[in-house]
Amino acid sequence: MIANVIVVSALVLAGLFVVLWLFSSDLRRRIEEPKRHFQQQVSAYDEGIATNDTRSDEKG
Amino acid sequence: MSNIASAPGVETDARVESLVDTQLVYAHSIAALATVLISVLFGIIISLQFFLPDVAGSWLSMAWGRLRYSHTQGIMIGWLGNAFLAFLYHAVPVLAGRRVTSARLGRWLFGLWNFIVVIPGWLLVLSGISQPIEWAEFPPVIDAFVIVALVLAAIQFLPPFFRNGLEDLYVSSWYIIGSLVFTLLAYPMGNIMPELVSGAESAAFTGLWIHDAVGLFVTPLALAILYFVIPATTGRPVFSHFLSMLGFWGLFFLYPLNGTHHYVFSVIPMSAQMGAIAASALLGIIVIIVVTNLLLSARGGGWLKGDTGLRFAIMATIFYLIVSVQGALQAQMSLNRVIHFSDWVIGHSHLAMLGFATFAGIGGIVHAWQRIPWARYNAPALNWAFWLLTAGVTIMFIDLTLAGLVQAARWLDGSPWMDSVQQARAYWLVRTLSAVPITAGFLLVFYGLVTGPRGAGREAIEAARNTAKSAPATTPGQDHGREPAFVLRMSYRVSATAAIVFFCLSVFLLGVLPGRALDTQITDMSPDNVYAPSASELRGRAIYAREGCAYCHTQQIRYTDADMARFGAPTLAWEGQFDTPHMWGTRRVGPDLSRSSGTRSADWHFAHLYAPRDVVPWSIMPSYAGFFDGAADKPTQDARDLVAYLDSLGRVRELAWPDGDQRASALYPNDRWAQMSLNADALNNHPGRARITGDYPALADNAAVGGAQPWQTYCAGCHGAQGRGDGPAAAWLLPRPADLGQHAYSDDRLAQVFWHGVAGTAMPAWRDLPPGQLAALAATVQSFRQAEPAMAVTEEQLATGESVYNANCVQCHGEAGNGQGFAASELAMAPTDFTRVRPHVGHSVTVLVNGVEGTPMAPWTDRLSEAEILAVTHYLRTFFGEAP
Repeated sequence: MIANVIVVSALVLAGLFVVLWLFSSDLRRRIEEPKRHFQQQVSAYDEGIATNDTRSDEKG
Repeated sequence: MSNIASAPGVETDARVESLVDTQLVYAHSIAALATVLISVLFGIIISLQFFLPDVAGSWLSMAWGRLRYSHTQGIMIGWLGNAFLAFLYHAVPVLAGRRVTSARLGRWLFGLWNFIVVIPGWLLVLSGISQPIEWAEFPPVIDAFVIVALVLAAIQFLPPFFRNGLEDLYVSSWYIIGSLVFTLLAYPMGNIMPELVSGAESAAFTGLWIHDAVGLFVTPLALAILYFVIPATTGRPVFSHFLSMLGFWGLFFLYPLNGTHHYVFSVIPMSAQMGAIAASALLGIIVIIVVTNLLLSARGGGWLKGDTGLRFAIMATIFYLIVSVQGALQAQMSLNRVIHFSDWVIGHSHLAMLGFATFAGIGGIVHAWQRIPWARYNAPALNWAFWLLTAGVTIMFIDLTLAGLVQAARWLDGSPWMDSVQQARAYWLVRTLSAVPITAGFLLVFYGLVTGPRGAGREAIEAARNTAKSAPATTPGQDHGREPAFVLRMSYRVSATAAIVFFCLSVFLLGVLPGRALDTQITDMSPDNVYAPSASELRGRAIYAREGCAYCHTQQIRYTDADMARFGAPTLAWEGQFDTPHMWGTRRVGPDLSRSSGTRSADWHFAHLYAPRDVVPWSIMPSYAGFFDGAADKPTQDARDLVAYLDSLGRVRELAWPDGDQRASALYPNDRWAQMSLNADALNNHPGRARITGDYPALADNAAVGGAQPWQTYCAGCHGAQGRGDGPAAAWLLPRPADLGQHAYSDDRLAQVFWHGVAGTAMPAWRDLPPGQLAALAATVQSFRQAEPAMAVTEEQLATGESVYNANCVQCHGEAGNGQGFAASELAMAPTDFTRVRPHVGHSVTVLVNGVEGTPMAPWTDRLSEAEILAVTHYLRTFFGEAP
């Protein structure tokens, strides 16, 4: 019984998630947005450090 | 918008740098590497003890069990805890675009984690204050501080995320949030619940925690690192954020439900076991999705030649795939039946913690370290560290997996237990050698972070970018309208709620519900008046727990044919009703001790604890000489308590059996698993347990070649190399081991002794030895017999001897000299059967003059004259060979 509960509920939730994704192109695009934001955040941070380094070098 | 460039207050470069508290990144990284080196040192000493068991001497603080506790807690809390915290101080501000809650709180958390939790935890465990629960060995007082630290960590790292919308959270953020929340839920459950319930119920909660520690604390934070480091280093976004989120929810739904797979074939209700097995299989599928997504994301990163942090991250991903697929498979009953309790599982756990999680941790540290402008960075050292660690972990994993297969094969084919120990020794040696590259690797990581030019990490970042293929241009965040964001936000909220529900479900389905079933079973099956442990036995139990004995000796006979054949009836729930927390164990280096009661004599236990190899020459058990005042026959109260506890194991079932089992069987007629235990052929099948009576097979005709080897392995410890009863352990045993040179034995008598042992003495049975080996041992024993000088015996002497014998000896030794006098059945030890044992004259005289200490045989000098003693000595020799 417990095994059935686990398997069925896991599959239903995963299935719902996939169905939502399949039937909504907007959602498909939207769900991918955070990875692009993340790349920007990382780039901004790394560039910020690089700029700081350059300034430090110039001061030094 | 949450990105850094557009976040208020972080647009300028100076503010970008101040976003991250680099001092805390630095401090936790150094603490992580210091604690991992100490933990590895503990691990090396432990591994050395597998073939140099006395390497730590009799110093209890360096005893195997205490070091084992310190090793695993050091790795999980000291090393990985600090490594993850170091990474969080870098990642959370970058992910959220905001600083963590408080720099001052960060310093308090650092102090709490290292100076209140890790170091005192180690000191307490090494001084004997601990908790015998796997992955929860620090004592409850430390647990309280861990919970406080987890609350502080949640306060420190969660608020920055919640200022943004859920739909904007990157997958690493989800893993960080999930881990901080769920560890806070799981830690008290796993560390406190097993202390509140007993036996199988306690084990059910331990099983949950063992997996939650890995699945809700270690894995999410390691995956947060991988999802961060790989795209951040390659400059390319993850392959699919959708798949990453599918994996995230899948892992958080399924990980908590895996726990009971640590106790497959146990008395925990089969429905719970099957649930865990199903969840394990599903988890394997989810992990394949996660790993596929990560590896696709790493394409073009040039990982073998590229950035060191990236390389660690990708190798962690590969280890994660292997260990997870292995985990899903070994939870399945067909494989679990074979490899459970063996070193295969130890290889699995090392691949998880030292492979996957450690590589992720180092990847995270290196990535964050490169971005500390003032930190030193030595790229070649870190490059070497990667290869050394990869080689070491791979060798260790393969070696332990092979060791596990060898052990499993010996356990399945019914070989003597020591065969599995002897055959694993070469693998244990290789495992220790694998620590050389691993230790060197960790030292080089440390060296790589504290040497080299300051700010050289910046060059590494640039080099990584140049190595990686050019990333596709990322489109700035686009507004796709309110509806998709709303749907996504709602779906995440539903998923988050569902994850919490699944966690609660795991506690209910795999902890509470089985607990209720076990309670009912205990009430139904338990005898009305169960023998409760004595004060001495309880003290002994505390010592057993403190020294980590359960980490080598299980106390659960599984519902498998191999376990039943070797140890007896599988463990029922009611047998452990006084075990709080349980001592089931998850590994067997030594044999299971569930039916230890009556299996060995007390003096054997004392000798074995004091000097294990004096009793069992190939034993690898550490010496516990610290429990004695200089000799095995001078046990302290600790030793007496421990032996009292060992002799109590299995006694409650033995007292109830077979009547109790028959009554219980009638209550559960359709429970296949209960019937397996209740209708077992024997309650205690321990091959060494001595029996007073019973059938036995004759010696085989064909003796195995090489009889001297089994003699040295099994017998020489007590009887000595030449069978003179003068082995290293002989002086501590009462009665003393027989001097085999002073007796003639019939083959029938030897066959009986080998099969049944000699009850009431330290002489165990050897039912697990192959027939050919028993025959070879018999031949060895016969070869020890010494020639007797010819002695003239008169008829008058024999008549006197008969008269003396009939008057004084016949009550025990019987009229026919066969040891079956009318008083024999009242004695704990069977009187000598002179029809099959003929002592030398000199030996018999000594016995009659001095008695035999430790037996009912008393001295006879106060009742018999010297002439009578000599006469009866000659007379009793006439019985030999007369009776079958």
